[in-house]
Amino acid sequence: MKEKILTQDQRKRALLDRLPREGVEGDVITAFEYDTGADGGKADGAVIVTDKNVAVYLDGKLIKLFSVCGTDKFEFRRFVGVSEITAFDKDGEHLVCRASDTYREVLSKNVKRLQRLKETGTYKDDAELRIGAVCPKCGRRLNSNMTVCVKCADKRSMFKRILKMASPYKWYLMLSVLLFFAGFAVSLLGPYVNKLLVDGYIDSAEAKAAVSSGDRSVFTGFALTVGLMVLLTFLSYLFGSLRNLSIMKAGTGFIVDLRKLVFEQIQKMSVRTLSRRTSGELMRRVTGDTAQIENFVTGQLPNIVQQAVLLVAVGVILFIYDPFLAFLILIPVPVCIYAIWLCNEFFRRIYSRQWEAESRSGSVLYDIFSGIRVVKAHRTEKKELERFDRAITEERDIAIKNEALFNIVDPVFTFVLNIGSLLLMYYTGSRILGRTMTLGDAAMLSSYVTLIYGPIDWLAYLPRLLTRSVTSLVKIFDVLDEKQDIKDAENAAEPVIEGNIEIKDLTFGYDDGGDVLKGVDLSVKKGEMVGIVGRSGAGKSTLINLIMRMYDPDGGSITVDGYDLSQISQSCLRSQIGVVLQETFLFKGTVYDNIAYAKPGCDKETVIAASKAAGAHQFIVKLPDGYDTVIGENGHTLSGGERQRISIARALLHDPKILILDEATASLDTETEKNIQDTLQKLTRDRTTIAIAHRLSTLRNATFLAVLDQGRIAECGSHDELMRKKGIYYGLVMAQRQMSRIGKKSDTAAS
Amino acid sequence: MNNGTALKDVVVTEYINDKNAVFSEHDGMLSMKLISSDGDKDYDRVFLHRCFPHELEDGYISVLDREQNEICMIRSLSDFSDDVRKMLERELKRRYRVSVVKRIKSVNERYGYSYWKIEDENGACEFTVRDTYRSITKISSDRIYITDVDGNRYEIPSLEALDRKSFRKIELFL
Repeated sequence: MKEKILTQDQRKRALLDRLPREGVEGDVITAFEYDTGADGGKADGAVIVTDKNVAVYLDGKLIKLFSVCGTDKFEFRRFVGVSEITAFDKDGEHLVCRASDTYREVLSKNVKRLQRLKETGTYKDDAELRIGAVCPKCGRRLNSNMTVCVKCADKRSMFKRILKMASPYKWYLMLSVLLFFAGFAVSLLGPYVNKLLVDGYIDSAEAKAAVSSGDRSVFTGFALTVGLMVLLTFLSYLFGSLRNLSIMKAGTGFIVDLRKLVFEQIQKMSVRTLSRRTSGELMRRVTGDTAQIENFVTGQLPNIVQQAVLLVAVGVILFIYDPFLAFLILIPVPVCIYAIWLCNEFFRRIYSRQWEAESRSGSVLYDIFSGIRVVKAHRTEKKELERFDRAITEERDIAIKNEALFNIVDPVFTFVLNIGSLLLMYYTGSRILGRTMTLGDAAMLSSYVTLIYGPIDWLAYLPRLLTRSVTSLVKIFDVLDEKQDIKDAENAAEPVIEGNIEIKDLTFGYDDGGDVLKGVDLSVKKGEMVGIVGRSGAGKSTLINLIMRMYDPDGGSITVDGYDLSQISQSCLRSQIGVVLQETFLFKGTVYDNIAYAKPGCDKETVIAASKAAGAHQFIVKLPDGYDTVIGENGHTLSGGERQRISIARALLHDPKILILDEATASLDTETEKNIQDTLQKLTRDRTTIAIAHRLSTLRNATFLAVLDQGRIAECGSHDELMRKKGIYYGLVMAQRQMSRIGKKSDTAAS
Repeated sequence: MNNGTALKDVVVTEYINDKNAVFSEHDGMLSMKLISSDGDKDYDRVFLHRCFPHELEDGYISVLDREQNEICMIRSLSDFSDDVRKMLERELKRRYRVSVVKRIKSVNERYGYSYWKIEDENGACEFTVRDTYRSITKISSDRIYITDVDGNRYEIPSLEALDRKSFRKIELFL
């Protein structure tokens, strides 16, 4: 019997009914199971959380009881395939429970809830926290990135959806089907005219007699019949080429729409989602898979309709003409359809395998090209060639295997389907010999039989055609159905930002680890410049990513001018934030295009002004083609500093209210940096600026500095205040001074 | 060339053994006392991280403190007496939870997700895998592990040792 799937609420109630609660005080918040013991082995445990206690059970017995007030803090830790909650009190650290990753989310959310309960005395319930969210349809547990369970989502037929997408082109597709049938009707007449020709003239004793008696009308009739055949052939070609034309119209339009849709969806994905997929894979989905689906919609779909109608129509004609004969021919068809249905899953899997191999070799290539300078610097061309060779050899081997399999399967299907024709030959032959059938009848019958073998043979190839399309359909819908994890709220505000940023109790962690930011509080007033300093990995870049809303925080809030970030439209927010990152990216295009990237068509004077502000103008005018120099891929090669200055100009042109500089001037020499800093200082006067820098001198103009340490703001204040404090900042400054002293000493020694 | 400039001489890693480290365990957690001539140091909780979890399970294990800073390294578990080695192995078992697949009963794939029914050391088990091909990691040509939607790992230590029926069910994903 199939196991009944329980919702989180039902599970909770079942646990509360089952477990003894003597000694456990307070209102129940939640109850959850855990499956790993203190020794790491399998265990049958549960935890009941109330607003006063955390009660831990093993095999139905209470084994530990923690007091929420008496515990200093609860901590969540993730290991490999297992997570734990521990509690800290005056006696040290104690294990609350351990569980496999199936319960990871439950554990981590409960720890956050407990911490909040300790600090504020309030808590959110399971439904609010989406703990143990289940599919509303079948009750299966949902992952945090799903809204509908995939088994239920399946039922929305993919084919229906793809047809809906093709609906703007339905007239072209219908026209192509109509033209096919017009052509088909013409071809149906063919055998009949052929029969007329054979029985009425070529093999007719009457016609021969009339010719010998000098009757010329027989020749006229013969010529007319031949003319009719020519006309039928011409019409058949005409309809055929018109049909191809309408299919092409539908196909080209459809593929453009589909590619746009997939690309749009990929662009909407958050950084978190995108980082899970490789660029090569995404490119394949936008180009290869969409082409495969276009082929399906414009090629196979009309074909399925046509061939099915053809099969039925010719089948009916044959049945009317001779039921026994029709039975002989059609008997293998259901057998083959059943066999195709049986093998379908297998065929799909082997094609998926080929898809993966093709995608992998694409990714390898993309990877190598992106890192070509590293490859050359380390002289690993041969190694990379071998890597690519391995990938394409694997792809080739799988393709050969698949083709070999289809080359075994196809003839088997064709043979089985054609058994009917052998039976037919025997049957018609014996009837002609028995003189119950004329030669003309036999010729006509043979033509109709050829017609019906069209769709029958096509049936044999159907698995191969369909599998490829279905594989691509799955991959496309995988992208289209990806839930957008960062969405604009309904009626999202589009305010003109002044630049007051308020960060409260901000907590955030990436998918695969603990919290990177833990309860960060920071307040930046309009026009202030805050310098964020700290060691590598302290969470500086994560913090600015959150301000730009590349990710949504796990806890706490970020507000801009009183609006929570989730309430502001993303495009409105980002249009008013200027960003300069350490790693610059220049698109293929002119220098002007790159600077005016976010403001296409911007007037030249503004672009020049922005370049001057960024210290880029000087080198741009020295280029032979000035602002029209093509840079980016295959373009003019710029130095690291030059690229950086262009990207600073790009950010300034924006005229942003909030300026984010993430190690923006790190790759510049001290003098250029100073020049840019001076300009930036003028520009940042009425702009809120958040700057990250390792070179602490960069931040000398900052209103105040915030020192991030292990995800927390450890120190905050002006340079002088922090120096007096002799804390982390003091340590960083001293270390840097020492470094520069060593540098100077070695310079002197060298000279 | 002067050997003194070798990377290994510049970057000093402290490797521990029975003589300079004492481990103890309580409540399923590991503690360590580091013995040195400058004075002993107590760590009431330490974490073991394998540097090469696939290639070398018993060697090059980093010992981290609560703040996840490395304290020292274990070159090999065999540098410790049997009792301590067992204690360290228990800690590793607590940190790395991997189910070992004994038999694959069925694998059903639908629209990018696959639904697995297997048997591991604890009996029957079901899990869901997203993007099946990408969730199967090949450690060697014979050894793989599968990561499910939640992040749990299921290892097949030897594909060759797997029974024929089970192997056929997974063959196409390899």
